[in-house]
Amino acid sequence: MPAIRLGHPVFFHNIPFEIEERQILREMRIPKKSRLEDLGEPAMEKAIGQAIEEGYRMIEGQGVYRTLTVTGIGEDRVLTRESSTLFVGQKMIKLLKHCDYATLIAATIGPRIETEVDRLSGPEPAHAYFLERVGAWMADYMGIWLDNMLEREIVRAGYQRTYRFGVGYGDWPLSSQTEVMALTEAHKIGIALNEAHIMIPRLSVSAVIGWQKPGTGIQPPTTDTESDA
Amino acid sequence: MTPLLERLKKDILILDGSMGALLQGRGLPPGYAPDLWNLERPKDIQAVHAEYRAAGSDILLTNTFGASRRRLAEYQAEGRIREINVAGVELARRAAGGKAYIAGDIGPFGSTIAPFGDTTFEEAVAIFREQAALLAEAGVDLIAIETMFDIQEMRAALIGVREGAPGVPVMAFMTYNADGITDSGSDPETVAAVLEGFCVDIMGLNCSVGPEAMVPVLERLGRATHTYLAIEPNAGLPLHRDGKTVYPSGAEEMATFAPTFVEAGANIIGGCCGTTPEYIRLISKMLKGRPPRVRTPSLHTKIASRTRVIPIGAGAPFVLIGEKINPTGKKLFSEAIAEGRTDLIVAEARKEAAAGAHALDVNVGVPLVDEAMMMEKAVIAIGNVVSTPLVIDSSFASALESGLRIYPGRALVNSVNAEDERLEEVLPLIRRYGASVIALLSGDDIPEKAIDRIKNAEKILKAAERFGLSPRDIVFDTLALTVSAAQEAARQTLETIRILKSEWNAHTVVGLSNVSFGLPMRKTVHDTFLAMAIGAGLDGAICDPYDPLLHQTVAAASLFSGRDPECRIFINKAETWTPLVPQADKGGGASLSTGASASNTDKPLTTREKIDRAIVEGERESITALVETALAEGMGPFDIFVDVMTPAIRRLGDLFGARQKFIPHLIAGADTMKKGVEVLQPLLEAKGPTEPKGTIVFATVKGDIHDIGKNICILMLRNFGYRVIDLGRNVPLETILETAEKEKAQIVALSALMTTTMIQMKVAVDAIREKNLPFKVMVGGAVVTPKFSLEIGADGYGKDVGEVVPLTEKILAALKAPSAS
Repeated sequence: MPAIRLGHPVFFHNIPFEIEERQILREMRIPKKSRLEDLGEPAMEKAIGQAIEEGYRMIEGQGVYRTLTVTGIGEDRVLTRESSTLFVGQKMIKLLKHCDYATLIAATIGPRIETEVDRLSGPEPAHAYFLERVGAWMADYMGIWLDNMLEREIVRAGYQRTYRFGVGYGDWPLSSQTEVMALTEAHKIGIALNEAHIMIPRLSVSAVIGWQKPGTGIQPPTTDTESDA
Repeated sequence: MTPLLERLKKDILILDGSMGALLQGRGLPPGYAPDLWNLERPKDIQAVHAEYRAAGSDILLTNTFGASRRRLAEYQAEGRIREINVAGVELARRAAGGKAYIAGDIGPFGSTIAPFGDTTFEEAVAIFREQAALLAEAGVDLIAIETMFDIQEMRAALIGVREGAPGVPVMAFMTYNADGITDSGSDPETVAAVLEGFCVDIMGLNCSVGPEAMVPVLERLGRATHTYLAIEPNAGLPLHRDGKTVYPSGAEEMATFAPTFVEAGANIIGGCCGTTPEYIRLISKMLKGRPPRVRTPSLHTKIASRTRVIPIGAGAPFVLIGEKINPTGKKLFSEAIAEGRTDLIVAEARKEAAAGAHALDVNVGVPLVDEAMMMEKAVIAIGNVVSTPLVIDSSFASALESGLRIYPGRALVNSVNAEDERLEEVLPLIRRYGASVIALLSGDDIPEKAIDRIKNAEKILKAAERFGLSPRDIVFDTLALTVSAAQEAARQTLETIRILKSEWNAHTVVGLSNVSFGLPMRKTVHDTFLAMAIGAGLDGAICDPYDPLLHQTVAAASLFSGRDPECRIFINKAETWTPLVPQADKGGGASLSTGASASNTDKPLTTREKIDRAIVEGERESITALVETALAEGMGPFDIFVDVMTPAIRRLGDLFGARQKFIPHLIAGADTMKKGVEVLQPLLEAKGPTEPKGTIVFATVKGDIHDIGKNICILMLRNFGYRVIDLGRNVPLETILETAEKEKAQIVALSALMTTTMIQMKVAVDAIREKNLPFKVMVGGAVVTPKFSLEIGADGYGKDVGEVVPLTEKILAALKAPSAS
């Protein structure tokens, strides 16, 4: 059986990517369009297309995951071999109570889009907005890419994944971000936290995914519903 | 025993099954390294091997899957690497009793490899090399590299094995998912192309999702390569029942797939996770004595990225190699490379791929630049955004090597020639990294006559064979010389192509652009040359993929050169082309466009209407000129702002409300208006101060650093004539209140994007109420809801940027209205 990669973070750099027009239009809440040319508006098509091309030049996709061994369930927390303070809250118990393992993931597209958005925010707000939407989707994309990579490992080991649960959602406090960052050594892919526990670059994601035995626990939806960016 | 590769010519061989399942049955604790049992429980290991031998296995895999230095270090056993591997081989050999081949088993090293991962390529090579050397020293008959998920790790393993165990046959197994691709996205055809570059003796697939799902992958491999094939299926994906791991496919079910595997081309069949000697016994019984299926070798040269393969040769589509990633004569491009930037390289790569290039030549040669370092960066950056295979182009062997090392595919190298020194430095790189190479038919000079160029080809081919390369690893560049300077030499290029194709069935390319140098109508010249060269047998060209005539020429010439059966490619492409010359045929676009269109007959728009349209459609680039035109036509700046721009932005708002326009339109329209107002601003100010419609202090709350939504709201408000004080993001409450008091604001607007920071809005509302301050509070942001707004006692909630102006107007109107009390 393929070994489960336990005990250390697994890093991914240079994650290949494609910026799908369909997703960017969805991110901008433009309904029923899958291609820029479907807009029938040359100026908009050009402006959004330019943001997408800039995205290709600026995005540096990186991610890390670390799988922890679940050792028990307490009254208000899930215990793992690596930490007794990380997975607190009733939602976390509900998520992980049928799991043998839990994997922390963190991913980012790097700081360049964010810096450019900040720079353009005053002089070219529309361009800043388009670029920011491209960055927002692509941060999510990196999380999904990592998620897919992990899911294959989970399935091969005979488990089923739970849905992805973002740090700071429900009763999982955002302050847990500190431990997530430490355990994943996310600083090695350039993610830091500010004093409010927000990831810098902002266009980053972090979450936990559980490894549950098939047929137990909450069945994951076909697409993830809870994630943060 | 007959050497393994000889046996495979006539016999199907049976591999063994899972070691782990049987060791667990003998008490191996979950999570414990099976490899350590080679020393701790040798009798059990030997007994498992013996069971498989008795069941009919012709090949026994040593119990060394995790016995690399890196994996053993997880159990603090790296110091015993030699003992563990040597013992693994010895135990299998004892069980074989001279009646089975011993395959030294090597698994993944347990982490990710550059450019994906942290481990450098050479570190990984060293890990595999060490283990392979130990297994070879202990006397294995072959080495099996198993369960690889990433083609880049397989490349490192193959180099390590070749260097650590030279001359030992290699069997290379990748693991595919249910969708028929590996974890890192490689399909079977791509894997076959890459592994062929390393001359693996047997290719295979193991583990994975069970026998049924593996059949199509095996079939695709069988069509893609004539290399021997091996398959080791799982007994399905594991399940957990009653605290135990079980596998769904039983031995009889698995055995029913064995004939299908042979029909698909398998030469070696065994089992992976969940299989036992019973599975092997049934498979062996079914297949013993069956001859293998003979497969026809492909004659094409194949180049591949991680996820895409391109064949080069007769019958395959003509290959366009984009020439644009090259700093020669490009100042900005050169400067970017000198600064170590890859942004322009990435942009060019995207553009070339979109233009239809099948491969991209990558040249980063700028004087005084560390070309090896830059080549690595360029190859990684391009690989992140396009899947088009790469041609690594440099005159420096160090740059070629750094590009080849990091490239997770099978690159084409540009280039080698017939000079001894160049052959000696480039060909070993082609061999080590499993690449292909463009061979220029020049030596110390450029021969004019075809016969002399062929002599250089012969010399290159001999040298290539000496380094273990095959003719399929070489694509000859027949040297397209400038026709205006050397007319006969240019003609000899065509003759060289003809000889190489008709007499050697060799593959050829040319660098196209030079041929027309110095002449007018260059595109016509080199595209005509290209058509003639394709007729002579040319397989590809390094060229300008942005040239539409070139694409049409290639497609048309392919009709006459056996590259487009039934003309399908041409017909499909022709549907998307604009004819470059008048076409008389039906539906062929009989006339060239003169620029006249139906819209010319429409009534022309006035400047006022054009400004309106520019704002509604977000035509930012045209607004400045339009406003200047309006001013020149005599419209007053205030009239333009109030009577033209403001109604336009209101109309856009109405369209937004009617869901005919969306948030991006609002933002683009507002930005366009802002740009127009910038033209009017000095003129409006010259007429004296104007009374703002209201003052708003706007901030993202303390702890929150998101502000794009806030900034867009501010833009909208300012366009409507409001004075907005933008305090930025992560703003303390004290600053907000002090500023609001100082600026005599009517409204404090607060934004938050996180559930953890929106609570600061309540803090602000409470403070304003407690201090009885006169400000109204409006709130918004992705996580804020009307319910939350109501609960904290805010005066208004805006769902999105479309609501910020109406909400502001509503709040201010309420302030001005006489109090109901």
